[in-house]
Amino acid sequence: MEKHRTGASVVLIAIGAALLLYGLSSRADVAAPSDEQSQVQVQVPSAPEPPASQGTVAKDAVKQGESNQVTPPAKETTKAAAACPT
Amino acid sequence: MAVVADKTRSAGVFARLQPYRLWIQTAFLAVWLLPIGTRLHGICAPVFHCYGCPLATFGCPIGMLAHAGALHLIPFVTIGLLILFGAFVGSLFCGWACPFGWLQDLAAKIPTPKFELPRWMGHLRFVVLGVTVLAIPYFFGIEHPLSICMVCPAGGLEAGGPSVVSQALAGQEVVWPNTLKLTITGLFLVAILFFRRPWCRILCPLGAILSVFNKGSAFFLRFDANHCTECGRCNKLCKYNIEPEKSPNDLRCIRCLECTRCSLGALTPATILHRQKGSPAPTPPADPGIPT
Repeated sequence: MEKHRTGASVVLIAIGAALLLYGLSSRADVAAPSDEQSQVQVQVPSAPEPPASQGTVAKDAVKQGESNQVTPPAKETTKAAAACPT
Repeated sequence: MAVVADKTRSAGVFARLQPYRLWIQTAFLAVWLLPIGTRLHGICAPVFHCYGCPLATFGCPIGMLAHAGALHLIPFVTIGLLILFGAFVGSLFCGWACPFGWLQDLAAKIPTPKFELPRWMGHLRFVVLGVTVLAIPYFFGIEHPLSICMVCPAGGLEAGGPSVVSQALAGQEVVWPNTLKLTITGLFLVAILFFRRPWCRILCPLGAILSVFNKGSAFFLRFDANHCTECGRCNKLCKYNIEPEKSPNDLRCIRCLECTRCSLGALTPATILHRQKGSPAPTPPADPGIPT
């Protein structure tokens, strides 16, 4: 019984790690677009994974593209509150 | 003999930590809330905590799944993290780290009569997961009144509450959460006085996801029939009506590890690195020190 558990957990960890790495690598591709791409508005559906809200995705993507590095959004507190459906 | 010592040591660590579980949950607030000074809303934590909370450090995995569904995208990072957390420890985070569970555990300390919940209600979590987290956002969008973010009591308490208070303090017009969310939040606040962890046991979609991994996680509860005298202490220790000697890694288990306080060592926390081997049954202690 515990052999099955060992096998199952190892497989699950491998699947989880693979999905995580794939997702992170896809994010990195979006976070560092080419100069040409950074000139245009990044469309949300092209992102491999959405952060919590659509508006945040687009704004973050443009900001990251402009500076070519990941920078935290300026007014995240208000953004998070605004993104909340309440 | 070495195996016995190893099991005793492993159980001893958790036995020592167990009385301080509520304090450990409280300490985890420093991770989920802003005091660590980081905002990582693009990454989810394996706990039920609304990212709309002004102090939230991480994103809510359920909110991320719902928003991704609404955009018809596959959230690889979120799914990968949930599988990783689940594969390592199952629903251990529910019992030891979740701030929403912490709130319910605190409320359970209030001396009000506590009622039992029927076992079948644990399956409702999967209905909530399938309908309000996956199906409705995918087909009707996140703004649908029955999508999880529109009805979630964590959002009502952690995001709606501070928002209403800050608007009122600033003298602005107060924008209340929608009626359904207010109703559910109110019902939740009443229910936690009379039931132990009602949200976790009946409705939590994150608990539903993580509990599936209880059956195959690297960390698990091991039941040793050689050490069991069928005294029923573990059943009395378990506050969630699970019968841990029959199903130590049950889907409804939040892994609070209360049942491991069985002094006979029949139920012990274990990992896949510690293989089970035959060990002599210990003699029962004269004073087990467990309420019966």
